[in-house]
Amino acid sequence: MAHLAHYREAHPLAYVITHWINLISIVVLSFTGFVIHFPFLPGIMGICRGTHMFFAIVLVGNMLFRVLSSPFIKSAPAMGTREQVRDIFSFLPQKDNRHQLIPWIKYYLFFKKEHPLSGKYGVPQKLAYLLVPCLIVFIAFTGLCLWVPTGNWFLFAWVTDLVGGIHTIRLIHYLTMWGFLIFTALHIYLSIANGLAPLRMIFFWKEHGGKVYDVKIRNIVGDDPLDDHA
Amino acid sequence: MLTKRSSSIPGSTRSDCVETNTIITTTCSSGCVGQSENVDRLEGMLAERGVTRRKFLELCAAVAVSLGLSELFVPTIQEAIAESIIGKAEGRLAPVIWLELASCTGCTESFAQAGNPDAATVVLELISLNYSETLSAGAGFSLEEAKEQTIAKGGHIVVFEGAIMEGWDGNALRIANEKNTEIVKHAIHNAKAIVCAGSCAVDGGWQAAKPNPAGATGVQRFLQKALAAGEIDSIPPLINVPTCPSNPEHLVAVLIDVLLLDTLPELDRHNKPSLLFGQFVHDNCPRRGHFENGEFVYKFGSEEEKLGYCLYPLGCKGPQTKNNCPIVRWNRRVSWCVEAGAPCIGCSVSNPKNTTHNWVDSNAPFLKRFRTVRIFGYTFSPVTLAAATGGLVLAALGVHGIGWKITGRFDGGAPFETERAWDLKNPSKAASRTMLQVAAKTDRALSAQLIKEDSLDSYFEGVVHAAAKTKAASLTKVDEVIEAAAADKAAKAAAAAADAAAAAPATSAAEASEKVEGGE
Repeated sequence: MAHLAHYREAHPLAYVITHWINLISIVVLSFTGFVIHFPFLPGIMGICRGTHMFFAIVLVGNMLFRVLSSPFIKSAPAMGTREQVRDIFSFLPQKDNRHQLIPWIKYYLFFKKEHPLSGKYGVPQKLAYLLVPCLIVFIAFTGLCLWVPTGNWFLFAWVTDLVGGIHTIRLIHYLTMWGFLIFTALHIYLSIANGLAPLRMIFFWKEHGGKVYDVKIRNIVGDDPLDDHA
Repeated sequence: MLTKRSSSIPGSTRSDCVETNTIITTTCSSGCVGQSENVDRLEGMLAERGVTRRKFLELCAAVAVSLGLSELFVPTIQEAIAESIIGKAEGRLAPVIWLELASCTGCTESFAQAGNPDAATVVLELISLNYSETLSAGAGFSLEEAKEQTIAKGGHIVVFEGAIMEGWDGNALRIANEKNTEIVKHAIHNAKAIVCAGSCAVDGGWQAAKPNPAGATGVQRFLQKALAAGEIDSIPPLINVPTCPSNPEHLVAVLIDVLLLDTLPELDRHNKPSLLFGQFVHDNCPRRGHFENGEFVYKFGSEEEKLGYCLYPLGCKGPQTKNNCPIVRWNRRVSWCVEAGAPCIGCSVSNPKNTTHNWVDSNAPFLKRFRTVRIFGYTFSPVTLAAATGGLVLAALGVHGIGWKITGRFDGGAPFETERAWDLKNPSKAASRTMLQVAAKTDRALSAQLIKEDSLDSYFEGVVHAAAKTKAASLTKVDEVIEAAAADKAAKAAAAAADAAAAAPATSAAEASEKVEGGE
């Protein structure tokens, strides 16, 4: 057992909830999107269009809350610690992650045998998570170019013209969804690859023991089997 | 000079217009006593050509609809047409020259309807078509001469049909032994307005589709480039009327607007009349109800097709194509593509600013929901491309998973490294405090800095703090850490001594450094 202890401090309840909302929204949006792209379930086509818009608003609102609340809500900057700082610091460059990008890549490609030390998120993980809000903004923007009530607004119409018309925007919107699907596949694989314990934390807010990381020393300092929580 | 409609009609608001025309209608409905002499004369001329008064009125009504005017405007249009045609006979009307560039003559055919001439055709012929490769009775030198005279006189309207071909320095298309690029630049000189009829004239249309070796382009883009290069002085008001071919009702409406009512229709950002190209085909489609119900045709020849369901799964481009086909329809308002059972192929999709957005490249293959994607000259179906990429990622993850399993990493990953690889090589700049402490033992400057920051103590406290906080059953590293911390304390003291000695002569400094090493 090599993983770090997972404490609730790492994922405050608010962010466990936003994670659930993201999960549901992305699943619903992808499914309804596929139906709109090609009505393989014709009877629910109309419902899908309304639902797609509703969850698009939910996803964007959720993303805005997640991003804008991060300077105010506190969370642990690393796994295996109960120390908390403002959550945004977990998404900015951390000393804990310095010079660790290459070791991480080597680790994932089996060129490095030991698990790299890191902050709450490993370097590739942090980059992937930072990409998600960008993807949401991008796909929402292309969605608004397509949506009839907003498609004629100057900004959206201008971008639609720029890329080659509504057909091309549809294409970009569709391919961006595949970006989400691929991200989700990687995300699920890597979370399972690192044991099921972290999943219990992010979904059900259940703690589990493991190694203890000291945020001041920036290294592992011991073990915490977390018996009294088990 | 052309004006916007709002200022050309008496009274600036729509309600004013309606009011004015209500009066005309009232007089008309009381036995048409007020019908002008011009209208009478025109109706006589039309009758000679086999067009009844009723047909003529129908045309005027269609024009009113196309222009977005109420049917109350029919008498105004009737009057305007009559006056212009009579005016033309008396030499008072702006002449039209119709230039065919790289075209299939489909747009001309579309409204000429040779086998079945009707009011629109006759009226258009009557007005003042001074030059048209297909429609003019004359040919050869005399016709070219007539064109020259029209251009020299100025104040004419140029209708372009077909794309301009810039390839081979404009030699890709030569007419009457002249480059088409030169013909265009010459023809618009002093023109009152330009009408680009059909998608080819708007942005190159299907002729601009890849690979476009002849360099087909639209009139607007060509003229803007010519203006920027100083080859022409100005661009007259330009109206783009895409669709392949151009809808005769659109053309008649625009020509009557410009020619007879002397106004410029309200144009959108592509210089297309907003009333004709402001809404999606989908918005007014007669099959829209089936779309809303989720009733679709998946295969030609199926039961669903017989029932007239929505053609969306067959690649209908109606939801992305702006045109009023469902309202104006085709072939004298008989029917149109979707009504006849064919999915819309988006033939009016065009961007006069960018030739590569032509409707064929934007929409092909026509019977698929998506256009194709071009990467390095190869074409792919985006769905296949995306699914293949997704499949590849899943396969890669599967292979990776096998490796992950073999190396025994599934239960929480491999064991952690004791120190970061970079830190081991650069201990004096390490992120990890433990590495920093190690470095401080041999690096006096670093040691001094750490003492100054008082981080030796805070480091020690940090360890105790972490131990207390986590209620750890076994802190395996703590002993080592405390030991190291004790050594650090000694080093700190030694370094302090060394600093004190630093003020003393160099020999004593050397001794001090020896002491530090001895202290370990």
